[in-house]
Amino acid sequence: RSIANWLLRRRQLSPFGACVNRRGGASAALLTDESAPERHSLDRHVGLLYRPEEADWQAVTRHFCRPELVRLFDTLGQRALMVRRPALEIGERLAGHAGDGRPCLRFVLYGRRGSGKSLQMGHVAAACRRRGWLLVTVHNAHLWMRHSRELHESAHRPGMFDTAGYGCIWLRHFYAMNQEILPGLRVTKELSWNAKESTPAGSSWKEVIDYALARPRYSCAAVQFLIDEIKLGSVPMPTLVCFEVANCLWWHRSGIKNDAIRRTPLQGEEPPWRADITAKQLTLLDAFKQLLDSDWNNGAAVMSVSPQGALFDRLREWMPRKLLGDEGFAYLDPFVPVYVEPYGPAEMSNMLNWYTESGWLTSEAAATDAGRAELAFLSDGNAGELLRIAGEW
Amino acid sequence: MSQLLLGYASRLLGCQSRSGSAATTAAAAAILSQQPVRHKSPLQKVRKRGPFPEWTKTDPDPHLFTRHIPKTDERRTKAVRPPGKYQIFSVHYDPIVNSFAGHFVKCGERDKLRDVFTQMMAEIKHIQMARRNAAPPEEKASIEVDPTRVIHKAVENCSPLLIIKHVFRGGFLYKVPCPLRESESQMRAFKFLRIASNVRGTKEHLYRSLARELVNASNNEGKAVHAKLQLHKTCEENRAYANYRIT
Repeated sequence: RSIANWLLRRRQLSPFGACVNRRGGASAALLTDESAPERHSLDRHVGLLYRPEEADWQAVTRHFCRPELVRLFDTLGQRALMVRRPALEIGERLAGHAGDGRPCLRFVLYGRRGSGKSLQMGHVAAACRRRGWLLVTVHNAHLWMRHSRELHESAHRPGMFDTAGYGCIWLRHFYAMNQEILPGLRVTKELSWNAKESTPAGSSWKEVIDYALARPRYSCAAVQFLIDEIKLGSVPMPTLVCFEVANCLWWHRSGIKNDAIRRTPLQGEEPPWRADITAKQLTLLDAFKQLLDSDWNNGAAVMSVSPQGALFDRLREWMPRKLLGDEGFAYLDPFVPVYVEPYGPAEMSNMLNWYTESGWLTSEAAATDAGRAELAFLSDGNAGELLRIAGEW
Repeated sequence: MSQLLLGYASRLLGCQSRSGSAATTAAAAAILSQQPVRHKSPLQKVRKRGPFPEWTKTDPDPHLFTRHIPKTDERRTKAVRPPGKYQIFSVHYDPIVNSFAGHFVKCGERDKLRDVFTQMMAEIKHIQMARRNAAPPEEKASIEVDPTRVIHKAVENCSPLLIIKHVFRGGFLYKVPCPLRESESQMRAFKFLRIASNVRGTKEHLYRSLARELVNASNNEGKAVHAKLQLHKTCEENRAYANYRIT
C-alpha cells in the first residue's frame, strides 16, 4: 500500500491506484442477473458484469470476442462480460430508430487497441438480434486483405476481383447468425448468375445462399445480391450492420500482389502489373462498403476503426480521422463517433474481482492491495492488456 | 589509487565530516580503510567485490528516495551488492522465473521474451485447469494451477545433483561425476527444459511447447526430466572415477 500511495502522490500512478479496495484485497465481483442485453440501462447496469445467454453467445457474441477470451471462458467454465457506457448509448439511439424512413445511422467506435470496441459492438448486436433485427456482421475484413491467395476476376463486376473462399465462409456465418429470420425473407428481383442460370424473384434467401455455397465462384455475387436487397428495402425488419476494423476498406495497399491473380498477362501489358491490390478492387469489401453508405433506410451501421487494421504507416494512430484518411472520412461523414474509454476505477476493480473470484488470478500477490494496484497500473485501464497480463498473475 | 583511499580514510578519522555525525564518518572510514587488493602484474585484475551481503527487503529500495532514512542509520553506509538489472521490486517478482527467462534470451531481446513468458504462463494455467476440471474430486486438490509454482516444481525436478566432467588423465579421458553448486544445478535444469521444448519439424510456438514441457516436468515426466535421469544414470555408472575429481 505504501508504494502505491507514494506513486499516487508523485502522480506517477494513474488514478487506478485508487481503485484498490479500501477494505483490503479483493471482494466479490458485482454481477447483474439481467442476461438480456437490450434490457441493460445506463442508470443501473453500467460497470456490472453480466452472463450472456447460451443462444446469444453461440450465435452472436462469440464472433466479436478475441480467441484468447473465448478460450478463457471455456477454461473457466463461466462467461462474464462487462456492461459499459458506449454500447448502452448506441443501444438507446437504436431502440427508437427502426422504420419511419430514416436513413442508415452510422456509429464509429474508436479507442486504443484492446480497449473493448469489438465487445461493445457485440453487445449492441446481441441486443438488436433479440429485438428481431437482421444482423450483417463482418469481423475479418482486414485479414481478407492480408491473406488472400485465391483471387478470380469477377464476372458480375468487371475490373474487380472475387475472393470466393471468404465469400462462402461469410455466407455460412451470416446464415448461422440469422437462422430464425431467414426463412421468412424473399428475393424481390430475379438474380442472374450467368447467361444461362438465374434464380427467379420470390425465392427465399436460403435458396440463394445454398446456391452460392454449392457454386463457390458465385459466392461474392450472392453477397452483392443480398446487400442490394437490403438497400432496396425489401427486408421487413430493420438491419444492423456491424463492421469491425472498417479502416481497412480504404487501404491503398495490401498483402496481395497483382500476380496472385489467376490470369495470363495481356499482350503488351505494362506495369504496374505487380502492384498491390487495393480494397476498391475486391468485390466482397466493396459490397459491404455500400452498406455503410447512408442512402438506404430502415437500418443502422456500427463500425470500429482500429490500429490493428491499420497499414504500416498508421500503426500508432487510433483516432478515426487518422485511420480512415481523407477518403474514408469523407465517405462516412456524417457519423456518430463513440469513444470506448479505458476502464474507470470502479470497472477496473470489478474486473479484478471477477478474475480473482473465477480463479484466473492464481498468484497470492494478485489478492493484495499492492498487486491489484500494480495490475491496474501495468494495464493502464486497457481491457485487452489486463486480460493478457492477468494470464501471468 | 589505494594509497589515496588510505590517506583519505586517515584524514576522515582525524576530522569530522560535513554532515556532522561521528558514526557516519566512522562507518565510511571503516569501508574505505579495508585492505585493498594489491595488483602484482601490470594487467588490471578485476577487483573482487568482497563478501558483500545480498540486498534484502529491509535495505532501502533503490527506486525510492532515502530522505526519510535518518543520517545515523547504518543503512546509509552499509555495503550491499546492487540489485540485478532485471530484478524488479514488485510483489509478483520471482527470482527463479526471472533467471529462467534470462536463459532464453537471444540477441539481447528480452522484451520480446516477456510476451512469450506471459503467454506461456497463461498456457500453463489453461492446461492445468483443463486437467483439474477433468480430474475426479479426490485428485483435484493435488493439481497445481499457479504457473509460478509449476515452474518451481519443474525446475526442482530437472535439477541434477551430480554432473559429468571430463578429466584427461594418463592418456585416457574419464567421465567423472562431480557435485554442483546450486546456481549451476539450476542452470542445467533450465538448459534441459529449453532443449526439451525445442520442437523441430513443427510450427509450434515456443510458449506452447515450453508450457507443456514445464507441466510434464512438474509431474516428473517428459524429456527434460528424462535427460536429468540419464545424467544421473551416467554418473552412477562412472562412480568408480569419482576420486579423479579436480575441484
